[in-house]
Amino acid sequence: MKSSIKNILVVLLILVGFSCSDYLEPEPFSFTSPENFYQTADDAEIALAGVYNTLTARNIQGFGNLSYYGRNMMEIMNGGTDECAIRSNLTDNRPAPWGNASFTSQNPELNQAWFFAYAGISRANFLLDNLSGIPDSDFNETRKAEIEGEARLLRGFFHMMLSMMHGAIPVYTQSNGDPNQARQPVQDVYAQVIEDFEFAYVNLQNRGPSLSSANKWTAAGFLMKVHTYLASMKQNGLSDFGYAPNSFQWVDVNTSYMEAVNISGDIVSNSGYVLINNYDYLFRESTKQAQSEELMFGADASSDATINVITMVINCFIPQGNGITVGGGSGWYRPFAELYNSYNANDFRRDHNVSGNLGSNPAALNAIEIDGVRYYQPNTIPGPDAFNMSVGKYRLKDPAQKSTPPWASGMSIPLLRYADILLLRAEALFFTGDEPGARALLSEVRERSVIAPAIVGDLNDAYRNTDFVEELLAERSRELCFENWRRIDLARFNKYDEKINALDPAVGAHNDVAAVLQQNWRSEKVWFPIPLQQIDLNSNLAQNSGY
Amino acid sequence: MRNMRNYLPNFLMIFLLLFALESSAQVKTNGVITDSESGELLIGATVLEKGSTTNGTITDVEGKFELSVPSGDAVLLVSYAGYRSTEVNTGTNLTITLEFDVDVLEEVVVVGYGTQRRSDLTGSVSGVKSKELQQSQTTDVFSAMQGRMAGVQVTTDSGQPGAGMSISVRGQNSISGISTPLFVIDGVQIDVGFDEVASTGSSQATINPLTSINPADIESIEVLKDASATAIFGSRGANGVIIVTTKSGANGRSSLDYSYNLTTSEVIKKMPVLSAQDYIVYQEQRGNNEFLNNGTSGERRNFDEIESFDYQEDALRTGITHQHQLSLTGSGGKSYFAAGIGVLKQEGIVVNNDFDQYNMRLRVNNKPNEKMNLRFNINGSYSALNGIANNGGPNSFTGVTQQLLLGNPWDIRSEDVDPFLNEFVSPLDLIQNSEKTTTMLRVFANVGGDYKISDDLTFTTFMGSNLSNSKAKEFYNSSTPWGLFNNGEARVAEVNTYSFNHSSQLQYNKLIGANHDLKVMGAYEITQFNWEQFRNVIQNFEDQSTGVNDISRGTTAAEYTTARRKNKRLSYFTRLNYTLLDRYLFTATFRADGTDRVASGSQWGFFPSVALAWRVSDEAFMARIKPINNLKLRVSYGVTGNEAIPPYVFLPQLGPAFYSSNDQLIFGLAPTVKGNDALTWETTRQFNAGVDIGLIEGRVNMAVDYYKKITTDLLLNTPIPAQNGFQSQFQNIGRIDNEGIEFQISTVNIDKNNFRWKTDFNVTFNRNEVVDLGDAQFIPVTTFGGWQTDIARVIVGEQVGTMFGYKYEGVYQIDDFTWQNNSDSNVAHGDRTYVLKDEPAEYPAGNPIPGAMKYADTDGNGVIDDDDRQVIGQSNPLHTGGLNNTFSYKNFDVSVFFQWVYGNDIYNAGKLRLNGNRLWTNISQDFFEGHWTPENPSNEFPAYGRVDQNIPSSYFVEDGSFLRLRTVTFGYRIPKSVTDKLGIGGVRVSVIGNNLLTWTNYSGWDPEVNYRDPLITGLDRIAYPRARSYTFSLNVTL
Repeated sequence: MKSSIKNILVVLLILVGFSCSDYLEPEPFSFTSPENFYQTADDAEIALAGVYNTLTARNIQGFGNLSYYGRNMMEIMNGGTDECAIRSNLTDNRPAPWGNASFTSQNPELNQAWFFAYAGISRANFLLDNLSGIPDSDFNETRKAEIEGEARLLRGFFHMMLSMMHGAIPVYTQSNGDPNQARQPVQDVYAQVIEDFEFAYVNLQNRGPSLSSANKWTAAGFLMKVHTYLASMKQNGLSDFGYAPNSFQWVDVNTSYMEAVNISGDIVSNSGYVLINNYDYLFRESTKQAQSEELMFGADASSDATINVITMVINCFIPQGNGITVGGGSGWYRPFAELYNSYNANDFRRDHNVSGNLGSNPAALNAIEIDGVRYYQPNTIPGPDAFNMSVGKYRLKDPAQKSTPPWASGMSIPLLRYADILLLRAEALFFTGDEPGARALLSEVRERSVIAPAIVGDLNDAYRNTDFVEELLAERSRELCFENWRRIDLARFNKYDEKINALDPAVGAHNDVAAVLQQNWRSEKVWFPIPLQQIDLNSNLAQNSGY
Repeated sequence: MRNMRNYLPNFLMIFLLLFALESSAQVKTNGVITDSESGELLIGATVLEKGSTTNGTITDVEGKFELSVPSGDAVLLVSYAGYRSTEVNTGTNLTITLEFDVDVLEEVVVVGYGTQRRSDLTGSVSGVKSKELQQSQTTDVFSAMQGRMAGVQVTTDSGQPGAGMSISVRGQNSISGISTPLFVIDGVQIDVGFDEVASTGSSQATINPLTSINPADIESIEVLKDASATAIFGSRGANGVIIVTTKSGANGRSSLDYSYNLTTSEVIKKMPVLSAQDYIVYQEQRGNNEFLNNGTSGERRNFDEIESFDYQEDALRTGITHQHQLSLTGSGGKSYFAAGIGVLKQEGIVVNNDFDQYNMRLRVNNKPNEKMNLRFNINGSYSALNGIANNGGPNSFTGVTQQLLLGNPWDIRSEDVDPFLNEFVSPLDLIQNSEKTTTMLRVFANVGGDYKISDDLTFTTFMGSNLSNSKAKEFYNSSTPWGLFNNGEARVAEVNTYSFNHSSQLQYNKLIGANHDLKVMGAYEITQFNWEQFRNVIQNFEDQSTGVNDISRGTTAAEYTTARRKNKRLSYFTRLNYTLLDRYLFTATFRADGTDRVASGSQWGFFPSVALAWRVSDEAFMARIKPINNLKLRVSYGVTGNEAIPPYVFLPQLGPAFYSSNDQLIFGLAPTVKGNDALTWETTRQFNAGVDIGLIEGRVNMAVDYYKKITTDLLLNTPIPAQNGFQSQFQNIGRIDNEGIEFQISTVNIDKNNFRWKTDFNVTFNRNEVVDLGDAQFIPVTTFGGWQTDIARVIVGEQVGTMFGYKYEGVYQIDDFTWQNNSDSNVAHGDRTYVLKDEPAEYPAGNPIPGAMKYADTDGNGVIDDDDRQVIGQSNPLHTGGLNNTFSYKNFDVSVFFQWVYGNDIYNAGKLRLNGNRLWTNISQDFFEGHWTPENPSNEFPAYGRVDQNIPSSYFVEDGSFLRLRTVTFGYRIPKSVTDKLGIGGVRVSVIGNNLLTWTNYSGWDPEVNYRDPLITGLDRIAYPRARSYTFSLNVTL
């Protein structure tokens, strides 16, 4: 008996010994650990792509659904302006709160957009924190500094957009920053944004390694955008509504506009960017090469069949029609008659940006082919009373030629283009005393959109307004409508209340929603609320007034 | 106690009797032993000479015994597991009848890593036996447990066949995603994870991973509740332990049992939504011209020529279920065995939705010699859930179940409608033109044995394995809303798991003198769990004829993922039982658990427990108090853990994040998990005090338990401020207390003249409180999908499951406003510009108008803002319980079982939809009739379009209490005289009704709501409705 006990104990000991110490070491299979990453130049490039991914990510950490420029940001930034609104009977759809300004601090899309921007900042910071640890010798020439520049540019962009939406925001320059940080005054925010953009301006090349890479001129362009933004916020006196961190009183208008003049001068002289001949090629799925000559920064997407990187404009920003047969959209957002009426009939941009619908029958439509890619042309409309008046800006190709499903698009969403730079330069020139120079730039932008036999002088005459700011704002809308800037333009020129109240609910096919928009609108809504979910999590975050 | 040996496990008895057979004999006595009720022969019953521990025998296959006793004066002690023991005088050709035992004290209960007499338990253990489970003849075993055990709450997710369910023991003591008890099935610990069921991501998987067990095969289920019982399971014991034991054949009877159930099920109630005609009136009232007018001509549609539907009428049916169960038990020589086959063909109450299941099992025991006892057990099952009806579910509103209520009843799809608006989503289309199948194959087996090293020392070793494979296949063709935009979509997913566990233990049992009974066990255990998943979504099918069965015809690979993970655990544990003077019981356990699920610094956890019990009724002074035949006091205290979090979450992780340039994809990586290098398990300390009382010769048995559980280091995937770049992080935070009282009583009210009336009653009160959340005062709870996603909070001082939002205060009336010309009543309602009187109260979504929802200004600052939100509801009931009455008279028996849940709230998110928040959905009849208009100034229902969709409020909160007549069984056993003539053992027929009546004020489909988020279980997003069913059941024993 004793020996059998001994035997058992021996067996036990062997089993226990076999299963000791190392046994509990976790074995990861399906993910990458940071400690094994950020080791080489290739790793840095991969991490950089991960930062860019934020712009059009389907979701981040399983949260959200095309919550940044993939879809939601466009609905958030363009709806509820004097350009377009949600169709009046669609108060129940996802973009409705943005399209009629009924958004609240609890709106999920806003919380997602907030998270996406900060995830982008965090991704940039993870890369920047680890980049210095990778040996310089591992990189080609100046590539290490360029990677740093691209990451800082993106970090600056996310901070800038957050601030243009919410005002004062927490700023992060390290991946392990305090998660309970309070909002920092806009002065501090823009100091950091400018520092990041300036670093990129100095360190980036004329063109990046790929078509969608940010480059020196992207940085210059955003830097200039910030300067004009700051100057106009101060100059036009938008109230901080009792929340001092949102005040722009500290800005020196002249210095900012002079900076803008200088930087834009560099861009105009040296960037090589141009206004491309075909305005519409900026907003089509298959014209990326042409687009890239004017587009200084975009939220990129691909027509790769995996639909790994796509944008989704089908609900709100393409002509209404059948998505499966003719590449039409839902038409949830509709332009206001005021936008249509702001154009001269000889302006190509009118019928491109505010179009008719597509219907559902390909045989009944004209089509154009661009390099073998077919686009159905929307019906023309006689005027803003036409019920089929649609947002026509973006165009999807014939679904029969797509490898992605009809709802997805491979379109790069323009976020900064040369035409915008010219208009911002016009603004800066005007406010630094060069009105003729400013008006010449407006003319330069209009030039490509004139429909012969009319000439640009006809458009200049038609659009002339003795109040230059009014003319500039109108031109910005004509050129840049549905490109995510209108909301910010109305805020920085302190024109939001005026433009919303001026909408006439009685004209046009879709203006009836203006009444709803006017009822929902309050001056304080020029600032979006801080998402309530975030205040619930971080009590250091103060809410904007009015929410 | 009358005789100490009575309670020993049967095989030990046999073992002892082997020696007895060798002793010399003078007088022969013989006879036959039968069941008093059925007359069945009892094979393997024990006959022992009274006063002797060695002279005895067991009955043979014909129920006969023969024994030599020293003299004719000897008395025989006859016993049989599950029957009341009896004493008879010796004689020849005796016919001894045994009565079914109501004395539960003698039964053997399975505890962790061993068995114990119920009377020896120091911990709190509830159990159900096969007889009770068979009463309701449900297709799965756990729904049969509902309401039958104090402290155990079982809720199915929905009424769908095979639906998942949640079982909680003594309240919610974890706020992490998983608080399911540990299941131990015939010794194999099963990690029940709903991620073992393949899901394509389109909807929540709802096959219950535990459907593998055939109810007919179950011998008993024990639920270990207090720390004394569960601490032996250490880091997995905190949520309670459910031990399932299948029938073994150990009683030596050879029998073949066949049972057949035929069940019809139908929906409990039809939800009142608008008829097709009323729907037109509704859309006219709302001015939805897109619906009323033809999209191309602009003229009013001719509804006489458009097809309309009553979806509930068309898609709900009477489901027919067939269930066959065949089981065989027997013995021969030194072995006994049990085997079974079960087949289930169940039709859901939604057309095209059915559930098939096959079970098989084999259990073999062998005693090659007196020292060894060997066991083998294998259990396999295959389940297949078919039909699209299981889509949508708790996270989505576009599934069939939801669309049965919400679908626009008019078929206007031929017109130019926008698929994104769900203007016409026919659930019938979804049902007919889609396919969805989820299957689950599971096999678990174990091999083990005991070796008696000496009289006192036994070595036990055990190796178990669990394999599962689950597949999900879906196809949506272009005529369905989901397939339309993708030109056909196939989704496939597969999950495989393979795991093993091994344990070895030494058990030392010693009776020292007459007064000290000592049992010591020491063991170690090693487990490993592997999980692998594959998922693929393919779109763009030019040819859709082969559907999901040939995905190579699709050209777009929209999703393709694989994932793998592995978990390991290593444990050492010991248990000491010491009984002094046969009435003072002491138990202590200790377990050390190592796991790779938590950060390396905290991998080892230690889980001790102690318990004391005093059998007061065995004291001499109690002998005079006749009515009390059992009185036992128990106290216990111990520590258990919970490590049920996804693996690897403590490690920072990076995952793919693609970007593109010039149409080409660029590979990127980005942080996906923040990691937490301090993460450890949560710890529950539990105190339990209980008393067991038996009165009037065991005719009244009751148990009362008080417990307090303190859980600290709560594991939670905590939402963290997004400004740091992460949405959430697994953290250990704070403390939750659960305190409760459980009361359980069984009485035999009448037992004479062939009539017997037995009552079982249980009630549980549990109070849960979040005591501490670290730095935070609350944690917001986000439920994904749906319009209202932030309806709950975990708040210090409140219970887990608290609903949070605005308090609804009725509807803004015209009198609350002024308008043009000094509120001139001649201005038409539609032309007025309403301005709220007094201070224009700010209102979350804009400026209020008459007919809009009004909320309480809780802080009285004149503004309705974020700070006015408050607690608006509570998911947890105040008490739950069940009452079962069983009446039997001769061959008839009737049982009536009620179950209730009282005092909980339900957040009826379906109400938002049924109040027309989307223009095209159908709405509820009461909203249609009661909505606010100037002519009908309702204060209950807002105007059309004024049900705030983004604002959680008490408008959606309803009382979820219910009382349900869950089961009524009427059974009849064909008299033995008849069955004897037919040469069969017994035949029983019964008719069973389930879910017959429900009393509730809840307006949704069913008040039995279980949202699969422990932080807000009382959320209803229109789940598959429960069925009322009638079953005819036939049981034949050969």
